[in-house]
Amino acid sequence: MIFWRQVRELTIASLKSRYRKTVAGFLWVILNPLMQYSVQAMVFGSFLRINIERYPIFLLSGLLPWIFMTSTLEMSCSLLVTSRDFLKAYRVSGLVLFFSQVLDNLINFMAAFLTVLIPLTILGHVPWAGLLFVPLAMIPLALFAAGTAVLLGTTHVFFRDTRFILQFVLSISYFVTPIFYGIQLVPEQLRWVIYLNPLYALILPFRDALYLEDYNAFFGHWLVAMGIGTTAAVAGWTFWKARRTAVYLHV
Amino acid sequence: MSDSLLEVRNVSLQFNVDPVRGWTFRDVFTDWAKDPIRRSRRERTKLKVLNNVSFEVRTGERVGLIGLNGVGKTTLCRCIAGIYRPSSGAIRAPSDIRAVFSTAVGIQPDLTGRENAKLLSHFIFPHEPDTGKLVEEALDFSELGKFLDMPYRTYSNGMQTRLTLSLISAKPAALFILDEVFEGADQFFREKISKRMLDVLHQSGAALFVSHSADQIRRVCTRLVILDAGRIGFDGAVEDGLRFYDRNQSQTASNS
Repeated sequence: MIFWRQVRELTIASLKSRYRKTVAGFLWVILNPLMQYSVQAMVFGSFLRINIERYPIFLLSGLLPWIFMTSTLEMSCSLLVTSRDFLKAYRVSGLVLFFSQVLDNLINFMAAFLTVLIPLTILGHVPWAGLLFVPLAMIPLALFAAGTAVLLGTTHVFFRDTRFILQFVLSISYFVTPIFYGIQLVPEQLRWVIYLNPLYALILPFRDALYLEDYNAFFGHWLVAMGIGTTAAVAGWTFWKARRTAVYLHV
Repeated sequence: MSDSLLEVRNVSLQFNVDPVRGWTFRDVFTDWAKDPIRRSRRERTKLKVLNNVSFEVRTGERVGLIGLNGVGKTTLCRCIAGIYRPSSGAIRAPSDIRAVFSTAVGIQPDLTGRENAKLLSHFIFPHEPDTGKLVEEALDFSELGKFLDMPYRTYSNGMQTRLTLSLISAKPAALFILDEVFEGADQFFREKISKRMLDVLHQSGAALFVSHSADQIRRVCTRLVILDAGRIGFDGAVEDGLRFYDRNQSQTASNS
C-alpha cells in the first residue's frame, strides 16, 4: 500500500514536472514515438516497399511496444545514480523509483498509441477486437521492462558505462528483432536467431492481436511472453535484494 | 523503568574497497587484458565502518551521537533506519521511524516548493494516507510565503532547510533519527524550529541526534554516545560525555 502510494505520487509529480518545464517537453515523449513511427512507415512502407499488407498497422503493433521498452530501460539505467541525494537523505526503496519510471512510460505509451490510432481508425485499419487484447499483452512487456530496469539500474551503480553498453545493444537488437519487417523475410535456416530473441517473443502477442487478429495464437504466445516477463521480474527482484546495501553504499 | 524501544546488538558493517578497481566495464576489461595474473591475485581491502556496536534506547530517551568525521555515525543511523543491512549483528527497531539525513533535497526541482513538500511528505510520513493537512501546517510554519509557489531549484540552501525541517517536525514518531539537520538554517529560524522540534521530540518515543554542536546536544539530549573508529567509545551522561570527548580530542591533537 505504502509502496504503491509512493509510486503513484512520484509518477504524478514527474508527469507534472515534464509538462510544466516546457509544453514541448510533454509533447516530446509523445511526438518522439510518433515521429519515429511516421518516418519508418514512410521509409519502409513507401520507399523500400517491404511487401506487407496494411503496413501501418503492422509497424504499429511492433514499434510502439518496442519504444515503450527501450525508453523505459534507457531512463531507468542511470536512475539510482541521478537520484542518489534523495536515496541518501530519506528511507526510500530504490524499487519505488523504478516502478514509477515504468508507470510513467506506460502512460506515455498509451498516449502515443491512442494518437496513432486516430488516423488509422479513419483509414479503417483498426481491428477493434484486437484492441481489447493490448492491455493483456502489456503485462509481460511491463514485467520484463521492470525486471530488466532494476538489473540495469543496479549494475550501473557499480559500472558507470552500463548506459552506453545498453544503447549499443539496443540499437543492434532493433535490427535483429522483426519489428519493421516480418519473420517471413528471414531465411528459414536463420530463423532460430529470431526465435532465441526474447524481445521478439514479447512483441508477438501485440502482433497477433493487432495485425494478424489471430486470437488462438495470441494465448500461446502470451503464455511464453509471461514466462519471459516473470523470469526477468524475479531476476531483477533477486538481484536487488542481494545488492541493496551495496547499492546504497556505492551510489 | 520505561521499555526498550531500540536494540542494537553486535552490529558490524564492512564493505570491500578496491582503490584500483575500475568503475566501468571498459576499465575492468582493459585491466584484465593488460595483466590478468596481477589482477586476479590482488587482494581486496575490507573497510570496517562499524565494529561490534551494541546499545539500547528506551522510551523517552534522546540520545546524542557524536564523533569525528568518518567514525560511522551516519552509517550507524542508516543501519537503524533500515537503509543499510549490517554485515553481522541484529537491530530491533520500531517501524515508525522518521529518519532524515539531509535537508537540501527536492525530488523534482522544477516543481514548486509546495509541490515538492507534498511529494516528500509521502516519504517522510509513509504511514499517513492523507498528508494534506500536515503539509499545509508545516508550510505555514516555514514562513516561506510567496516562495512556496516558486520552483524548488530557485531555493537557497537555507530555504530548503526551512522547508524540510518544518515538514519533518510536523508530527511525532516512535523513533526520530536526525543527522546534522540543523546546520543550514539561519539563526532566527533555528531558534524557532528548535522549539518546535523539541516539542515533537518530547511527544515522540525516542530520538537519535547526530550533531557537532555541544550546545544543541545539551539542549536536546538526555544521554550521549561517542563513536570512535566504528566502536562505542563512551555511553553515559551528556556532560560527562562532552568532557570525555574534549579531553580525548585534545590528546589526539597533541599526539599527532
